[in-house]
Amino acid sequence: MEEMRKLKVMVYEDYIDAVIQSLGHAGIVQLIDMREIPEDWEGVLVPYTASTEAIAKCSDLLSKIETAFESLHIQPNDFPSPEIPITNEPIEKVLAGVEQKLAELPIEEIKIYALASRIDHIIDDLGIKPEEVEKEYALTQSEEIRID
Amino acid sequence: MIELDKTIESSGLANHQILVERIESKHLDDYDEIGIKFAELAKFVIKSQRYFGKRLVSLKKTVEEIEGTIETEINFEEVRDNLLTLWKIVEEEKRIAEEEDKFVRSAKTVFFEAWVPESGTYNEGV
Repeated sequence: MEEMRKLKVMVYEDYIDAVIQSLGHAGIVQLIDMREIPEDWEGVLVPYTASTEAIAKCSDLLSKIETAFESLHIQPNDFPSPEIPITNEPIEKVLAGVEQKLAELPIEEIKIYALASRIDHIIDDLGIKPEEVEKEYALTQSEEIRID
Repeated sequence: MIELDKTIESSGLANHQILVERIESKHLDDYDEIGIKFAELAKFVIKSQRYFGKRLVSLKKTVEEIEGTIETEINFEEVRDNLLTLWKIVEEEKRIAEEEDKFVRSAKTVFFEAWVPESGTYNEGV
């Protein structure tokens, strides 16, 4: 088993998102939860709470994206994970960019196409002939007699 | 016959074996009444199918009219790929934000501790 060493890192707040993203990509770091060792910092430092709003924003965006996937009748996990570039931008800026790009996608239009496709499938599955349903849906006299 | 009606209602004709057994136990005099019930049921099913079909075709026409007003050219694969990328970015940002919950801070700096391999080498940018 490989020897590990403990890093103590202090980062200027504007660079923290970039540092964590880079460490995540390196995939060799196990972060220590400072909340579990309050004796090491209490009285000198305070919990870093800036992420709470970002987490809520992420959840909101993920919910919107997943709804869009449902409109396309696909699951994101059914496809290979795309490569995303490492960015030095703070979370808030990245999320604002995602929100803007999401708003630009023609999701509402796709919903209409998906609905049309679904209706066609149901019509086919039920063997409905559109030209025949134009007539009155009540039974004709001859049909009544035949059933009786 | 009341008992038979209840069986039809509760089973939704799904458990037809019960129905067949009950029909077999009936006297011949009851068969006409059973026939009438089935004829009524058949008419109801046909009418319902036609009603539903008519509504569905009407809905199809409405949707096609809306489709006709869409001017944007839709490339489904492109939209799907863009969505996948956005989803991956947000997942990654959420993971980062959740990790940052473990940190503490001073006025302008953030402090954290981490375990790394002794012989670990780091990529550019780390």
